[in-house]
Amino acid sequence: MKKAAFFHIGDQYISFKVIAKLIGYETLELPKPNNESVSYGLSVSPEFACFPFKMFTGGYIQAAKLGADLIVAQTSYTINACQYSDFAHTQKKILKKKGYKTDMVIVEKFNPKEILTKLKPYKEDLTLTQVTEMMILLAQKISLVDELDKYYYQIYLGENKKTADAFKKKYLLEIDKTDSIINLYKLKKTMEKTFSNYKKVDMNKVLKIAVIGDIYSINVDYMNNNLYERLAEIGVYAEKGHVFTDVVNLALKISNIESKHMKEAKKYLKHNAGGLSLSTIASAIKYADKDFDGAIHIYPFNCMPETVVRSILPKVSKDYNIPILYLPIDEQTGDAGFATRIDAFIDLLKMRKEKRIKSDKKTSNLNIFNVDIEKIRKKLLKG
Amino acid sequence: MAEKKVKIGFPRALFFYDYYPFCKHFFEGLGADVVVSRPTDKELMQKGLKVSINEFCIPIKMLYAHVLDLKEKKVDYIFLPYVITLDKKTFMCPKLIASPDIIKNNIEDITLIGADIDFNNFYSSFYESLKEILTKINPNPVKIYQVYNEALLKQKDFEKYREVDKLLFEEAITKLKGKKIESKNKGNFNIAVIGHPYIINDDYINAELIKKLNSMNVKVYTTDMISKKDMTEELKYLERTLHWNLANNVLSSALYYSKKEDIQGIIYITPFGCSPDALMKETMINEIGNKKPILTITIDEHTGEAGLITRIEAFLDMIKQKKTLNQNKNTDWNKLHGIIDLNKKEVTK
Repeated sequence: MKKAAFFHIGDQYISFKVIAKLIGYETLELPKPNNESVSYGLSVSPEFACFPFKMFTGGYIQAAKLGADLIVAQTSYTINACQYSDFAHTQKKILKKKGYKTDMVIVEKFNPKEILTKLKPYKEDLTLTQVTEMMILLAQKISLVDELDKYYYQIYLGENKKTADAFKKKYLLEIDKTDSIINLYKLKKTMEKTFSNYKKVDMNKVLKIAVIGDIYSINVDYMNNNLYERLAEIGVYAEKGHVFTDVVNLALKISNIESKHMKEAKKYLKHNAGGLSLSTIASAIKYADKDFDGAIHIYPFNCMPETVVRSILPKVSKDYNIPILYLPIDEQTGDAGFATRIDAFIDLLKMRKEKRIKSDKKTSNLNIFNVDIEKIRKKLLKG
Repeated sequence: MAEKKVKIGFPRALFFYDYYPFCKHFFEGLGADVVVSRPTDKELMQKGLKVSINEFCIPIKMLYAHVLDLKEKKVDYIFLPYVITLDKKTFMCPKLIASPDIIKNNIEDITLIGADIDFNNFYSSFYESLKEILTKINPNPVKIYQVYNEALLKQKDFEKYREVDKLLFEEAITKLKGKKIESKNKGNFNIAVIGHPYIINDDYINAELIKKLNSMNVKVYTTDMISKKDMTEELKYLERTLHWNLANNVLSSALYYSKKEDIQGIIYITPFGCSPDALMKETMINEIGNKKPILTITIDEHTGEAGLITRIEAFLDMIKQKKTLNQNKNTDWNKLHGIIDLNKKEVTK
């Protein structure tokens, strides 16, 4: 049986298996991005290509070395583009130049006709309905995997790592096994039920942080140096600003962000500057509205859209009163320096939160008669 | 009527080098004063670096600097359009699309004329988005249309001077004023300098690369000296064009000059961390292959002059050697090997 390979984005590898199944290929179990695979990418990539490019290329080379016959890659050719829109085509050239014989399918749009024409050479009797059904299943699986990931960190915070790991492992296997939409829906229900049995932390007391920025640095653990585990260890709840579901939704032209926040964001950035730049600003505003304690803006060095966002976010941070830590990353980001900066940021946020709670208590105690104490004090002082 | 003229500032950065003649004649024709920021120098650059975040490429850092300079000159408006696309298929770099927003959110107390400009449909997009400000300067739409056409003619003249007469930016501007000019761009060698217009034409950013080449008896051909028609012609043969307008221009100019026999070498100059160019370079080097020698120069705000001169001299020496070897039709290969052996002996000594 021939083997197909996909790239790791979080745990989404599991949902991509549907594509291989459709054309009668076996899925090659590629290891998650690691030092070895990234080093392959670094040796062949152009100097100023962004970190995701190097990581992707490395992953593909590793797949070719492990004997993959086919690599399925996606790219987008719309106005929402960054370096990403030239990714797959350049990678194809690089693989060819280096003498790997692995075939590469490049899907440019998330649309049944496009996928059909691209996959037809690999299975002749493929029909449009088959492809459409596959796409629905794929989209469902993607959103379920993202949901599972959300539960994972909540269980981690409420219980411990061991239980969370067991939970995740069990349900990833279940999602992998399921291949009909109805069963997937049932699985979702049972997952919710088991999740509700676990102990959870009080969301009002725990420190809440939003991680915003570029989709890959948010979701690939190798890129963000296991940011979420680090935060969960010290008891901080972190929410991912963009998950892979959002990308699918964006391809289907559904926005995960309310139009209210989008409108606010457009005051700062009139036209989308490629990638997810506008929604990153909108999500910063969204989390400020949701009363999060802080945000971490994480992006690869040399990422065009996020660099633009980086220059605009200080103003947003000031206007909406939400502290933001900026973390540009590349392949040489050190673990220790990364940890120090996050720890320092968390400490500051904790202090800020304590201060806020104290001042809230003070005013709430004094404010029995619904009078502004500060105003009266000022008047008295003047008088 | 002794009304005060409206002052419109034009930063000497990004699109200045492409569309200055049009904008100057358009606004001046309507009765406004066009103020241009001073040419880049060290002091100006330092100002820009202080305000900008350090991940940006040098052209954007320079934009900060030039806008700050205009702020000091107390202009009423700063002309900085949103240039999204120059043709139907490609886009500008995201940093350039968002450049007015970047400036707006970081520098206070300035008024930008943030027109949306689509150079396909220039007049309607230009007029619609500039309506508010244009009526302040000159409310007569007939006059605006007339001035617009005159300015467009000037722009075409300017492009002709560059593309046909092969004049550099400043020379073309002086010729546009009606003065006679003798180009300083002369020499025995022909070298193509390719890159983005705001890098090639800004003498401070590129450490006076073109002047240096001229002083070394080299005639320079730049990316700007190719007409749009020739550029699209070059890209026809490619399997797939790129997403980026400016990167496509660089790529097509590289292909164009690589086919010209009288061009001896290509110098490709790029700012540090230019993302659109990052993946373009891979295609460019693949396509050109062994046809022409290429020197890549990456610049940023710390570029030293000495290092640059050494590299250019070495590159020219290499080309000269190649030229002499090619001229001797009966190349004596033994002699060539002799040269190599001689070098070896020197090393062993």
